[in-house]
Amino acid sequence: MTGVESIVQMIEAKTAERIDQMTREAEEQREIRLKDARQKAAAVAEDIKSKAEKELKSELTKHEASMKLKAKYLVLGTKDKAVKDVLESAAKVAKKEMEGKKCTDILTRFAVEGGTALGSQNLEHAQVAGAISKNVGQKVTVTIAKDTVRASGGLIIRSSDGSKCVDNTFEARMERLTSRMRDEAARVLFQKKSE
Amino acid sequence: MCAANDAIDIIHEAEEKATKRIQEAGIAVRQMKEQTEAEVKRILQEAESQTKKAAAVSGSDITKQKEEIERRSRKDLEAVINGIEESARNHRTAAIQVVAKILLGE
Repeated sequence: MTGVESIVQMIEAKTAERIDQMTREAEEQREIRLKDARQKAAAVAEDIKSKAEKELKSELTKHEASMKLKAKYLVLGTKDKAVKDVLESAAKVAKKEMEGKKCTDILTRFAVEGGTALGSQNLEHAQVAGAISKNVGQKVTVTIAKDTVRASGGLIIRSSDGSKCVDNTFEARMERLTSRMRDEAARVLFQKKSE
Repeated sequence: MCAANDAIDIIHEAEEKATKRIQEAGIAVRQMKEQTEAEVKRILQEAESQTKKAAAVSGSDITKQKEEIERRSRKDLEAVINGIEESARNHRTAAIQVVAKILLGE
């Protein structure tokens, strides 16, 4: 082998080696890049999946809560309807009672109740006065006023000086006792079986 | 002198060939890189698109799940309302009496 041939061979060998190295490095880089890409793709997929699942879950939770709220309103509406029916029917029953034989007893009771609440000494009417006196523990006199009350029943009890008054007309009682009547109606209507 | 020139020419030619081969190898490497980048892009896009498709499919299932919630809720509510109405029917008279008594101060 001549000197020139040897130099050419060396150049070729070095070139081949360089090309080999370049190709090897490029292939290694390619493998690394693809591996990274696959890992990133898996992470992206997991992220999208997780977000989608979260959104789905949140949407279903909201929907369920909304359905529960609707159901609660419907339950309350149903109960309210039944309670209103009882209050209306009870008012009719009470009015009928007030127009019947028990009218005097009821009015007396209203007067006693009102008079006792007032605790006034200047009321007159034998039976009522007696009962109030007994309740308040002191002598009370009762007088029936000449003026009439605009109501479907009941009466208004005033102290003689007019400073205190209890409105025991049917309408006023309805208004005043509504909350208590609603509570009682609901308690009786929706009592548990064991009660 | 002539032989020496020939030798230089041969070596020069070999060097030129080597440079050309290295340049070609460089081009091949660059192409490989470009292909790799394209493949990387495709891998990422495919993963994103397939996962989104899958999520959309599972999202379309939400309507069914909502309907199931509604069906269950309606069934439960119906039972509760029936119970309330039955209880109200059974205790209506008693409740009217209690309320009337309150109203009449009994």
